[in-house]
Amino acid sequence: MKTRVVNSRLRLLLLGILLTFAALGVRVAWLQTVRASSLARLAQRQAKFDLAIPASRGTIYDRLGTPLAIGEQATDVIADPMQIADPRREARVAAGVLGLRYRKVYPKLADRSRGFVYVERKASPRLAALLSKRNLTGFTFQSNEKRVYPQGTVAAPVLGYAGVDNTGLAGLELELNRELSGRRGAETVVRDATGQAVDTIQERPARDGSNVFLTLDSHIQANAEQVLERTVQQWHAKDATAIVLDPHTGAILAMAQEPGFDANAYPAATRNLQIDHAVGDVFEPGSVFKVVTVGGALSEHKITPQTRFTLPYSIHVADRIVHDAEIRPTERMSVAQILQRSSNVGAITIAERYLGESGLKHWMRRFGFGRLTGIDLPGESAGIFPPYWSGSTIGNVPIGQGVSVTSVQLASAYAAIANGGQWVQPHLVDHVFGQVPPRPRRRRILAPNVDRQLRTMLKGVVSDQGTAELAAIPGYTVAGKTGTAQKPGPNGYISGAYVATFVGMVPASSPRLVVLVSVDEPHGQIYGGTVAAPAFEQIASFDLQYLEVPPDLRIGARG
Amino acid sequence: MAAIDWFAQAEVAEPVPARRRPARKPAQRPAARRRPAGNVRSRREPTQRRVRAHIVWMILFALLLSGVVAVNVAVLRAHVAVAQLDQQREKLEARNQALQSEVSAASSAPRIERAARRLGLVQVSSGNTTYLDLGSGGR
Repeated sequence: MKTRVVNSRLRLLLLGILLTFAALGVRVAWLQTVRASSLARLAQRQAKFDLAIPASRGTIYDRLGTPLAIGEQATDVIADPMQIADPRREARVAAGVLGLRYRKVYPKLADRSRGFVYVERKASPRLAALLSKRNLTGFTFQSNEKRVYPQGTVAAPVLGYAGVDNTGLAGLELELNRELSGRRGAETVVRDATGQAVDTIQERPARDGSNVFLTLDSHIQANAEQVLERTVQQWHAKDATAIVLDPHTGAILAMAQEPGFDANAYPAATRNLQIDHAVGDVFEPGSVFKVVTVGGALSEHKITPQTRFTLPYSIHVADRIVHDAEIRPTERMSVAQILQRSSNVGAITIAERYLGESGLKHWMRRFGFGRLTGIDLPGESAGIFPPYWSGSTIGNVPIGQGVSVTSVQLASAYAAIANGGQWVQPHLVDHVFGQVPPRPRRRRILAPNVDRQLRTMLKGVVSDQGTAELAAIPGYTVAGKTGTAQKPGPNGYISGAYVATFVGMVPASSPRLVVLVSVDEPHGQIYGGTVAAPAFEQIASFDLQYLEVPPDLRIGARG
Repeated sequence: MAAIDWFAQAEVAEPVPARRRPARKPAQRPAARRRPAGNVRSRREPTQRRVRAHIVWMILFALLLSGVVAVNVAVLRAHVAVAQLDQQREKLEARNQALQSEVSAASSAPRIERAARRLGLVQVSSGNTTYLDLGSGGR
């Protein structure tokens, strides 16, 4: 009897357990089938977060691998004013930690009509971390990248600027934006109840931007900028430009301008400072343009360096009278002397007799003027040719007036002379990491023998008989040409306003460098030989020693 | 609790004493069958074997479940470690960039020139540079 009772109780207990498990089983089955999708969605919302993986912008290096533009970690400090109960207190704290002005922060936090405001973009990660520890309500922090230009003023207009969202807005940052920008990735992060990531599902990896290596040398660039700064100060000039390039490759080692600005403060710089003058500004070159006239006539075998002309001090061209820079009696000059002494009358005579309008136009284009060089920098100008040729135009253009060119066109033309008569496309980018280096365009503009003659004549300019004695460098032969051009205004040429230029190649026996210096509106002295030639000498001397180019002259001699 | 064999033949309970009836000649009743002692023990052995088997299965099942849990915990820990390493990598990359930037700024020519000027140094002018001719080697 007792046993029977025990048995029935046990059976009852077993039945109870079975029923409980059955109920649990049914519940599990129901959750895993009927409620499966809705519960999965809820879990995803609560635990999974879709995040964009930021891509780093590529670094811009100079030719030696010194970073000129680089991304540094930064933090965006974001606030949701709708969640902030005490905006005054939080604004005070945030402003104090981030070093901002309270009056700028408070209005953002107090605006409860908005759910998203930037308290500070690209803040210092250290300060953002300090602020994060204060646990202010409604504040979130997001990683970002800040574009930094560590060398400050060096090559600022060339580098340009990447804006708040790391997109190139000017200069090389704009030109190379596609290569420098990466591609954002996407990932899903699963977090536990404490917010710690327990799983990361990377749906698409981020692709960082490519690094770019330039032809610029930061030391040559910085030296050129310093020399220009001293030149501008000395002659109270409006501004100055310098280009240093390798004539054989077209690689630009320096493209400097003064006044300059700190690249990190690009938005604060004036528009005039931001423009790269070497490619964007046009100016009437003056006598440096005479190589086109002489080079063209030599190439057409109309003259030789020894051909002589009887040249008065002045010449009548249509309704104009053009004269040489220095008063002199009528002389017989050779072509070499015309270049050496920069005779306007001589150049106009050669152009009138042997080239004419069509020949001059042909050789201007042949030397690369009137068209883009194709340099890898935005904003390049093609220069300005005379819109129409009057009778007096032949009295202007051969001496570099009435035609406008850019500094980079001029430097490239002289580089062609330094390179045996072969023009090479100037460029700033050596290569983009991981890509085949671009090949610069080349074309022959002068026959080698004509080029040799021209270069020999240009050596004579840098002598005590020439106009550029101050461009001489001890131990090296130098060839070049001076230019002193009037500046045009709305009503003709502006009185007292000149552009002083010198373009030289060194060593002249086997040129390694071409250096152009152009000074806008110098005061006190206006001539290229006085203002620009000394700047050339300082820049070229430094570069020759820096690049360890051996002297080509007997020690103690000046070329 | 010992397993109860629900289907085992129950021990015969003590019979209810019969009501007194006129005495009759007691019928010859067969003697109550008593199982020899050895038979009870042999009935219990299969039961105990079954119990032991059940226990073994439960232990194996528990081990299996523990293994699954351990694997999942290990995977979670690995994910956490990966996430932490990712964060560390990002921090190191950022630090690397910052250092590169610092080196570039420190080596910039304008900065060096300013520092040199503060020390009273001046840049060599090109006119002050002389060259030594070491000759071609012959005397």
